[in-house]
Amino acid sequence: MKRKIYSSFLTVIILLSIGFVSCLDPAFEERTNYQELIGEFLENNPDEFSMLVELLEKSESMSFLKAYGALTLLAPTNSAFEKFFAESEFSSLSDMDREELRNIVRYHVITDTIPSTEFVDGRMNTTNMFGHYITTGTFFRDNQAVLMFNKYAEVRQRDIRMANGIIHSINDVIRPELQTAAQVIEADSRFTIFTEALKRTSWFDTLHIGKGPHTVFAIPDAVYKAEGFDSFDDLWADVDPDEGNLLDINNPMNMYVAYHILDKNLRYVSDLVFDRVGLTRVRNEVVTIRPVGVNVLVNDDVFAGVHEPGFEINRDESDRTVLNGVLHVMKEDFRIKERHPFAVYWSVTEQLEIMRMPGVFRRPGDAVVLQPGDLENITWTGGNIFYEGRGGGAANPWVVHGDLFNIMLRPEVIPWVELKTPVLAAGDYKIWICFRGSSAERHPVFFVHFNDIPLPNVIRTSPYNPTNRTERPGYSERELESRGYKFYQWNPDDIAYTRSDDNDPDITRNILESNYIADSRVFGMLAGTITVPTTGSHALRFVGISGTKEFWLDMVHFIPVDEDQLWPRVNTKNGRLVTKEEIHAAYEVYQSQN
Amino acid sequence: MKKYKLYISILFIASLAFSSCSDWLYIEPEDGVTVDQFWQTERDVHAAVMGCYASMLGGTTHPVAEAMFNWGELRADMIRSFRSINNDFEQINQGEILPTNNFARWNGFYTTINLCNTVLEFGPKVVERDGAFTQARMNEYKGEVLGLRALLYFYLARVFNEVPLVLEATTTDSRIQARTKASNADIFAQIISDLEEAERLIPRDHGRLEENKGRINYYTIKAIQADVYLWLDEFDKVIEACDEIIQSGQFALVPGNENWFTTLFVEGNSIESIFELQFSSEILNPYYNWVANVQWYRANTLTVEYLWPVNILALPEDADIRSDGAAYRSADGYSIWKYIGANREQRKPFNEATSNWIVYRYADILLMKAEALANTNQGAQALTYIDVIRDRANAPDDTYQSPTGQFGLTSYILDERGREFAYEGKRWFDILRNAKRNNYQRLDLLTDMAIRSTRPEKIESLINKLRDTDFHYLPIHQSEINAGYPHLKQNPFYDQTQR
Repeated sequence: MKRKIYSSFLTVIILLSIGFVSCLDPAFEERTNYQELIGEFLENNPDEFSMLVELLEKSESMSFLKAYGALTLLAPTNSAFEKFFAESEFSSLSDMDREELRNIVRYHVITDTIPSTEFVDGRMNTTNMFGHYITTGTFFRDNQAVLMFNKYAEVRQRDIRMANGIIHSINDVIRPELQTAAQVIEADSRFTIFTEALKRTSWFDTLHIGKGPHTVFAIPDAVYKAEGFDSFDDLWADVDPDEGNLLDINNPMNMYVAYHILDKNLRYVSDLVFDRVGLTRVRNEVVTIRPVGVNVLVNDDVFAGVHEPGFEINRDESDRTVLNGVLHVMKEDFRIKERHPFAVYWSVTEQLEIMRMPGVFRRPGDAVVLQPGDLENITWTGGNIFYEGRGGGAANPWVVHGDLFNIMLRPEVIPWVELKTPVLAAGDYKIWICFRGSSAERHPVFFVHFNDIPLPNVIRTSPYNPTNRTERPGYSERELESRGYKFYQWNPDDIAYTRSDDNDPDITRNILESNYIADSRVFGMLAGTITVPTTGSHALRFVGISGTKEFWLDMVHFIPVDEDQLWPRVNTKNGRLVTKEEIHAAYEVYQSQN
Repeated sequence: MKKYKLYISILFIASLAFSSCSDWLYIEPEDGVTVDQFWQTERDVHAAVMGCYASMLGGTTHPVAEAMFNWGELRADMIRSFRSINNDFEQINQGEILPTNNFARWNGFYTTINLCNTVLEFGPKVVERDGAFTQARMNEYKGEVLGLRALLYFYLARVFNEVPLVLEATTTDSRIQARTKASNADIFAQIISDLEEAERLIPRDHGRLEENKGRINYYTIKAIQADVYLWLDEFDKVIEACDEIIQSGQFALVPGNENWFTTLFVEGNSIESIFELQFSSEILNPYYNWVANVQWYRANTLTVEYLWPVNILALPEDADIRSDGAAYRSADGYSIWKYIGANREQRKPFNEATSNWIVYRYADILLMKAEALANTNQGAQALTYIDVIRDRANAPDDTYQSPTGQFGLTSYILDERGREFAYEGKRWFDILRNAKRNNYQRLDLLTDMAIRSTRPEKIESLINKLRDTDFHYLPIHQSEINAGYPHLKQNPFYDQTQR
């Protein structure tokens, strides 16, 4: 009973106290710590930021910058606003409506903390709240290195760290980019020919109405003039001599324009440099990008062994953000290259890192250990891969150039290896994996993936009996092909090769009669037929299934489906292609001399 | 040998006990009584001088031996990140250098400078106390520490441009004071006068091989002078200093045979060596750890390819002996082989990381002279010195040039120095010295360096920063700025309010 009274008494007190407290609390400040927040910093530095504070209050955004979060604020100083009002249509903040004010604020706030150490020659990693990327870069002005946003707003003080983010103060207001790609190009008097090309081919509307995002490589008139084109008609006559229907997407002029626009992709120069390739609005046509020193080149390729010089991007003018994308300006014009599929006989060991090792590449000597990460274009996990030069390890005169990779391809050691292929022209190919097999059991069995799609044939590197005449006498090379095997190489030293047939010692066969081979352990297996979607480099991956021994990889052949898969072969001594007729001729010479 | 090294290590530990400090401005003062008790006999002076050398090897957050590598290599184009990322290096490599970057710490340098100053202040008093200790002997010690201090200020002036010039010992609390920076000209004036005084006092020979290579002697002073005058473009004085070393007959190139690598780098203290920081099994060098254990750095293959162009037809025996298997080893993931190779093929275990840090060697003298000749219209003579270096190295024709003008010679000598002194802490100073000569005539050397060294998305910004000459110097570490407030001012590039 006593206890009951006591507890009810307590309840009353508690209730009372709540009642009292609620009336008393205006003096309390509801915060957990007293570190300065971005909004407070601005308020505490009115000499520099009073106009920014006014802007934030008028646009009702101040509370946002006084709340906890992870923000980056590009803070224009008072002098920046003065400059802005002197240059723009507005003379003070009160001239702007709420949406205009908010756009300015959105343009200067990024919902991520980005310190200056993360700035690159290109865009930031996160968009501002408007949805646009701000570009960064250090430029040399008046004998000083100057860090600037969007190539004009100079950073005064960087990396001011507050409890809710980072402030970079700037000497200019960053103007929201409210014009579309089409509008910007049209308004710029340097692009009259390109503008007309866009309009006549209807791509102008896409760049104006389409949300994109668009990445456009615009060609200035000066570049066309240097090429000898003074007007759109000059250009048209050159690109499309038939002067066909410009609205047809298969019309050369239409394709020419479409080739200067990336397919709904927002790529600043720094992205292009990283991507190395960009898909254009022409179906399955890509542009390649290569940085050479400070310059960035479009379509600077080695194609079928020939270097094709590229076309330079004007970096000072590029990376221009527009409402629906980004605009780049070219120093030179580029056009679509018509590519037809062609066979690639790829000696896989031709990796830059190995070729740079003095006295190693294709030289006699010990195996070279390669750890994961050592090669740029071949990646793998797990153990080490060995490069075996001429005559080292399992390499022998019957593999091309006498060198190969030794890969312990199996789930327990190296579960997979991925190779970046040389440039392949778009089209359909058969892929032949060419290696040294073995008569021993348990060499690797693996899948081949092309661009992550598994191919139908499983590659078995041992035992090598599918091509062994002992067990399969008399198979012709065409019969072998139909079973997915081929001999891909020819060692000139085998010209005098003559052997007794395994089943009938009385019959001897010369090199021409024995499938042009002396060592049948070295052969190619068909992994499958692939469609190369775009001209460029693609991913080829070997995924181990089983095995306990080495995979001795020599070559990979990509041969268009409608071409001869067996001939020419590859001369193991010099890597050149050799036809059946040449071998016959060599044999005749040999016979006439002996 | 063993005794000497043991002695050093004991001293080293002892010196740690009474001089370890976190910050040069707040050096724990050696208590007045201890100082008086310590400085009694010549043995004490000798121990203190040895302590100066030992303090360079470790004991601070950025000891001299580490800073010499870091300041000479990290900003240049010879190294790349390896398997683990050192954030401070990555930022330097990308030109994003902040005052909080740990490689901007100079405390190791000022610790040793303070030890030098202590010897200079208390040594002379021992002459009065120890009857057997002559003024002549004291003068020899004095020359040694003056030379060492000059060398350290020479590094500081090249790295920071302007630093406080501390010439008296900080031995008690009352002597601690925040200082302002001295001008670059004042620092160099002090360096030159210290070296001139040291030159008069210091012996040519300390008696034993390790001591001659591990302590500063007359020829070390000459080597430092050559380097200082080369930095100041006083070429006649460079030639004069080099000639004294060349004509002394005390030094020669280690022959470029199969023992070259082990003699010069693994064993050290060779006939070619002039001054080396002496590491031993008691005090292992830090470089092995960086390269082989934590794996921060490897060779930058772009620069390797530039300095030693690929010739796939060349036989291994035709290769430049300084390339694969010496500077780096391609088959070991392009590791920096100079500090981890037991020979050209095999790696040594971590407990044999005893390679010395070579501050100066004879090849440096020859190439410094060549550089001075090239800048005084004696190009043909310069080429003969380069040929001597190239012949020893079996340098192939691919990298041979015979430029006649000063422009071509500068590039050629710089490349040859890159090949010869790869990873010996020379590269950044070589590039900057040549770039800044004749009112920054060769800024292209820095630009080319940036193209080889940084990531593509940073190149343009880095090049623009390098065109700003204030950026050629590191920031003063933030902890020093805080401690030196309000006297110590940040270097201009890193403090916008000063520009």
